Amino acid sequence: MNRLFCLLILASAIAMSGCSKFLDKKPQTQIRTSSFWKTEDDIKAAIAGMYSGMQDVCGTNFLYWGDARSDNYFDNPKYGNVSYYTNGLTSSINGSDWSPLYTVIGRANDLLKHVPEVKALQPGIDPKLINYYLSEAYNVRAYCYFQLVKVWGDAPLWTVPFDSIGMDPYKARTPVNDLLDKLIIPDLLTAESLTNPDQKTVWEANLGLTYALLMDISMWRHDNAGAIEWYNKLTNLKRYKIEPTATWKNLFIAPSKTVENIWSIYWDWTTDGGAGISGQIGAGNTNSTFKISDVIWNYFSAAANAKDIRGAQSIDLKVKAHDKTLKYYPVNLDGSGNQLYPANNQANVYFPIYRFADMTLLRAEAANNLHDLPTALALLNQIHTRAGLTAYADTTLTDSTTMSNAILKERQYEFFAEGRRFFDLVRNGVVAKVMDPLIRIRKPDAQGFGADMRTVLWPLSITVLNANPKLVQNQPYN
Amino acid sequence: MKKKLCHSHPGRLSPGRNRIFYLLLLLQLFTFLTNAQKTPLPPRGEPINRVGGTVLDSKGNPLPGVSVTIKSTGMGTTTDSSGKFRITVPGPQSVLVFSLVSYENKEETVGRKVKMVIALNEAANSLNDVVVIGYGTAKKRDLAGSITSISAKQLEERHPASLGDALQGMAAGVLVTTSAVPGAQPSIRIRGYSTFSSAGNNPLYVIDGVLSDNMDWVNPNDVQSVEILKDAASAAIYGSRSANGVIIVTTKRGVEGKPRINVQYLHTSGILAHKLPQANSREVRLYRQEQSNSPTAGGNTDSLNPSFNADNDYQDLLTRTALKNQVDFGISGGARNMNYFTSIRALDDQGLVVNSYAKSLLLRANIEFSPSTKFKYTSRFNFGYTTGNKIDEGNTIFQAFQRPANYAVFFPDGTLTGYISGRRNPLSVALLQVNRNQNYQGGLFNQIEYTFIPSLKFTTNAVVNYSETRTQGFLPKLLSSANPTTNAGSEGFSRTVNWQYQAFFNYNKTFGKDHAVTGLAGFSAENTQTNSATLADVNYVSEEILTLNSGTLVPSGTTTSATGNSLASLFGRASYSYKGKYILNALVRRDGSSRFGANNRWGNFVSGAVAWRFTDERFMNWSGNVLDDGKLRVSVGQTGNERIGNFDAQSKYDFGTYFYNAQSGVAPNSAVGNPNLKWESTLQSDVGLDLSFFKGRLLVVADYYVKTTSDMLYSRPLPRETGYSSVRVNVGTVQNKGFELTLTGRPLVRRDFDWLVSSNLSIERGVVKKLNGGQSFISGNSSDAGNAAWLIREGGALGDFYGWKQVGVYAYDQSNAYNDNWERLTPNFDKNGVFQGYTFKGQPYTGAVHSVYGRSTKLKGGDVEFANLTKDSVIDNADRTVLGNAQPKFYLALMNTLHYKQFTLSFTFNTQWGNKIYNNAARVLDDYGTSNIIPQPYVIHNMWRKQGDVTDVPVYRSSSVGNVRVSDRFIEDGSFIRLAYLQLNYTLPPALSRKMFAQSANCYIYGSNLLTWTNYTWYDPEFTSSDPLQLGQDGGNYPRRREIGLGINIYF
Repeated sequence: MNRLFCLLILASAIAMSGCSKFLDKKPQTQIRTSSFWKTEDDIKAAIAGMYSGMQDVCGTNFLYWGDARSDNYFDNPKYGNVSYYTNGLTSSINGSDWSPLYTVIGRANDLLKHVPEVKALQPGIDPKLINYYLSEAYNVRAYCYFQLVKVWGDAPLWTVPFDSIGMDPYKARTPVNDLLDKLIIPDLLTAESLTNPDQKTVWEANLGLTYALLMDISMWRHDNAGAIEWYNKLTNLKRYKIEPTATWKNLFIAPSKTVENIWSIYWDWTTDGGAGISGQIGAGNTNSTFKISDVIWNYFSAAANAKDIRGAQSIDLKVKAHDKTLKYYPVNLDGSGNQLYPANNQANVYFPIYRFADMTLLRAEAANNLHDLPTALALLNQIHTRAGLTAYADTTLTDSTTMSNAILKERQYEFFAEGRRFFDLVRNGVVAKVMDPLIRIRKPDAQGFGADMRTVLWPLSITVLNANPKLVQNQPYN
Repeated sequence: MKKKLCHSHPGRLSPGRNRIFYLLLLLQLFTFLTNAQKTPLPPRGEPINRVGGTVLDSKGNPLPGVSVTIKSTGMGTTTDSSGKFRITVPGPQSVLVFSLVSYENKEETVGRKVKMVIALNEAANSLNDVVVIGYGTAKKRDLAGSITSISAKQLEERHPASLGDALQGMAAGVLVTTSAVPGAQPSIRIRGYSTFSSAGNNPLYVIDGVLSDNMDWVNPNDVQSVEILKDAASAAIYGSRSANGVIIVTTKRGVEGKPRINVQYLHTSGILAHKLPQANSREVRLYRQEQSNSPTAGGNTDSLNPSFNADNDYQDLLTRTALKNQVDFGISGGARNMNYFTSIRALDDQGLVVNSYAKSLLLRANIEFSPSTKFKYTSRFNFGYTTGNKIDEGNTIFQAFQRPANYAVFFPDGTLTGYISGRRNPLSVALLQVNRNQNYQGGLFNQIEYTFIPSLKFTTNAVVNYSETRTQGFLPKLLSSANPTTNAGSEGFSRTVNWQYQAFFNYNKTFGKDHAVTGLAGFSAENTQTNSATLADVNYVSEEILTLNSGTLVPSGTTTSATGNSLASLFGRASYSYKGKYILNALVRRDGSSRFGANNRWGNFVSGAVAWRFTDERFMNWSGNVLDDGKLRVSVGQTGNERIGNFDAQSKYDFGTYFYNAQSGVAPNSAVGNPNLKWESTLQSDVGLDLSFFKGRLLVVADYYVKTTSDMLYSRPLPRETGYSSVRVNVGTVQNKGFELTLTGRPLVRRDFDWLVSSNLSIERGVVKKLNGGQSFISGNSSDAGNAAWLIREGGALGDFYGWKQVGVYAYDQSNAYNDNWERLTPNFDKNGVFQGYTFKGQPYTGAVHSVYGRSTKLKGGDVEFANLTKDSVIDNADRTVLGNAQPKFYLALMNTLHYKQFTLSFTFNTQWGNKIYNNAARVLDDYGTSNIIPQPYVIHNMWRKQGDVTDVPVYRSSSVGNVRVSDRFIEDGSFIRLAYLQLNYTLPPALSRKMFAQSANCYIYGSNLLTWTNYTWYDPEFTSSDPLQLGQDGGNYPRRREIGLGINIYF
């Protein structure tokens, strides 16, 4: 028995001493949080990670938020969900989940926390570069919070990364005005102060985006004077112009070659997979879930509007099912002259987040709001004539209402399928006026928006609600 | 007769056999070849009191490996391969005890005999059988825990393709659900679902002492015994991975004597067991008329249209007679100081669906060498290769039902069609889509046992397992839905290396006559490393060449992965038995796992058991003639689960999937790490009763258990605003209670006729006791239509289907009318069909009339009336309720073996009772969701068409009001009774087999899945569900075959 005990003790001793090391396993195809954030390459990789999150934000949501609820699209029966088009959103509908935006916010917060640490570790990195990286994170974070404001209203405010399970993960929603005043606008002002004006790449959130976003926010808050101020700062950069008529299509298929795009999202299906939007608007291997609305179809297909170069370059007029939007695809015709669409897992779509035409028409809108009709008309005509149309004469748009309608129409045709239309209707307070008659045609006993404008906002997704008991659903959704 | 049979002539062929045997050994390069060559020389100088003989079974076949011991000395020998033994006894008064697993013991006084002929009867169950209990063995009579032991003989009758299949119905509390797919492994659940993850509910496998997650590579023919450790007191010796029971597999060893050559061949043919009704062309047209709301419409009736004038029987086109060929070859034997067992199995299984197949080749060599009584060296080597084409069930056999019967399968020139109107040609998919896999696995095990003193033995062993997998997928242009068509494919490689080391001491001593003590103390460590890569390709230049150089690489489909984990353990066990009357048993295990947080790596698992053989008490003397043995067992213990991701405790950044503008990005993993993560622990208590009546002719084993898992390894959702989606935490409690009853009996024992019957019943009741924050959640489909949904709630059970209750279909538009209390009013019409007002319970109703809305539209005639549980004007999420449960109320197996002279008939009935199935296959067809998916004929003929139709099938209507919500319309009773196996075996009389130069030979007719009684309407109610949160959804599984076959089995 003594021998037994000796051996046992020996075995246990060997076991215990070697074990702590033996049981310490590192991830092999991932990196431990504690081992990251050492070099500039780490920052570059994290920046790419943040933008990659923007791809997920846009993938399918871009049109749900900005187009599906407007008069741009309708349900492609059997393939889509009619609820988007009849103001029947529910807490389980696609697009109601704000997680992708918060994922990007989390990555931006991570950068804002750790980039200064890398700076301390690597004093050799050009401080201008460090500041530019920080400005990108501020810009992207502000953009995401502004999307939250537009789609859901109040939203929880996270400015630091959740990187320890000791932190309280539950936060209630912060009111819209606090988000704007205490986070979004300060973020953009910080970005302006940190940015490097020489950085102009269209794929990155540079100074152009800062000004465009500030202008958009001012317009959203009906601060026309403020909007004009930010517009002037943007034009003072002398970076952006209206793209010529001949190369209008490049705005969507080659943004980096244009003088108009301010921020576009890069896409390469070989590394990113197919863009989800293709299954909604047109892919070669599946039916679209969206159908082009009669409003758009009838305008572009009318013989009188044949000279509007946007029609044939935006929608596929040859497809009888009205379910193919070709705006984002380069021309690729088969033998009989029909457009060939990429399979949904092979589609590249460069989402145009902001372009100068957008800012130009917003400036026109601001001028009209301030009853400066000549300025509004001049700016509107820039876009109108670029489309190949005859300029509006100053005798036709003589009051603010007709001017406003003309600007909104111009925006609808120009920014069709660019996530703009619904927010244009909201900003101008015409959602019910435009949509309710249409919704009643689509579904006779549907409620529409009516006087109760609460359904302009989206419901919070049930997944999101369940995960955080401090969240309160947007009324009247359940 | 028996006397006549006792003299076999085993020596006659020995030179030839030895040659084969030596050749084999040479091939395998075993170093102790020379020892083997020296063997069978009989020792010289026989003493006078030496006795020899032969041991036979009841049919006169020699029994090798029978232990022959001289009573009360412990000395003994074993019979050789021809059943012969020789032993030196102290004198004529000596008593010899003959024992062999699954045979009744026999005692015989030597007397004046020099040659003895002993016949052993098969035992229904024997208390002296040795049972493997993990790092040691014990006699069945000394067990205090709940262990079921299954012998090779029981397994052999099933002729299974995999060992898992053979365990079905063998043990109470063990639910084996087989899969119909060729080469697929069954799912095995021991005592219910104890946690929420798929892997966490699998048992641990211990194959010849080697711990494993599966037993896919074990040739069922090599198995000597299978032990199933069910309660915590038994399983806890395997600590951290034993919460769902342990299955111990012991393979065969050679028996001293001449080489024994075994050849077996089995051929089976299988047909589709259950053909389903499918809409033919005429019914497709009827449906088209309904879809387009025009009596003249009917698709393309143009007889010249080659695409649409067929009338296919797709099930006929896609299925064939499934042929299976199985060949086994083995040589085993041994000499005084060594023995060997080798085997080869080749299996070719051609599945029911064309082009689906599985082939395998399994090899094994087990060698034991003991140059002295103190030292034993064991080496085991096994190698396996499997390959198969796993056809895509959804796009073949299930697509067959979706695709209209009038679509062409072949072009006029005889070539296959691809897509027509968005529907794949299932035959093309089956024939042309490639989904091949090749798997290799090899294991080498070496062990040294050293006996210091007879009561103390030291064992140490090491094993290396190497496995490699290659998968190849390809989708040709013909099957592409893109325009222009493209082809795409992928190739994957994976390699896993695992090593294990164990060292332990066994102590075993009886003090005095009455105090038996055993002890075990040991240490083990293991490490696993897996590396894998998948590469995706498009635009293959040639569809003949499917290697990656033929196409263009797609970075987004190309991934690599590498992961590993390690475990270290200390374990010990002690037992004490007083005269076998009072048995105490305690064990402890301390496990460390790399998967847990640095603060909580180590976990302790403790268990204890007591047993009381009350029949040995004096006050039970009265029962002697009826009840010969009775034992009460009580055990309680703790077991664990560590099956989670290898690095769930750590926060980490991912890369390789976040690209932007040609820069590879990095982003935090969506699950945040939890450094405090620890073991999930399961506390199980078990009370059992073992009874043996009428000298072992009736055995009863009953167990009641309560199994509570707490601190479940649970992926807790995080608020999405954190940027993360989940964190792995220890929270939640699941409890299972169950009752198990096994009856084994020999109701008839005659000279030529013998009947053995065994049945077991298992009743399990699981309940979710505690969830994170008490919050219930929906697993599966959270929207209102489509796939099944399950409600996971405190007080509920896993498998609770959740959705809406269908009450009926409104006959008239006016039928959607309710009084203030939401009771339905009856609309009345005159003979011209003009609405005349409502009545309620036969009385005219004049009060307010309320109506129900679905998706904000008022429901009309033909719409489904759902149970309005909230009594309001809308059918919405609040009207959902639990619709039934997917787990059986009980399951039961009944096994019979009848011997008559040379014939043996054995058959097994299986049943599962009271479980519900969500028939999602039918749902996809019947929900009118896609215009080119054709519903089942019943739906086409019975759908609501006009005002006043009374039916249970809703109207075809394109704008949906939610008629096809997740509802009990597609929930069916999954109960079944099945004649699962039947075998009629004929053993050649020994005289006849000797003429074939064989020691023994038998041939048999075999059948499986011969008869099934069920009300379930899709292919088969038995199918595997991998996710415990999503049980019992049939998505159109591979059909099951009814199989009959012929086989022979010869021992030379």
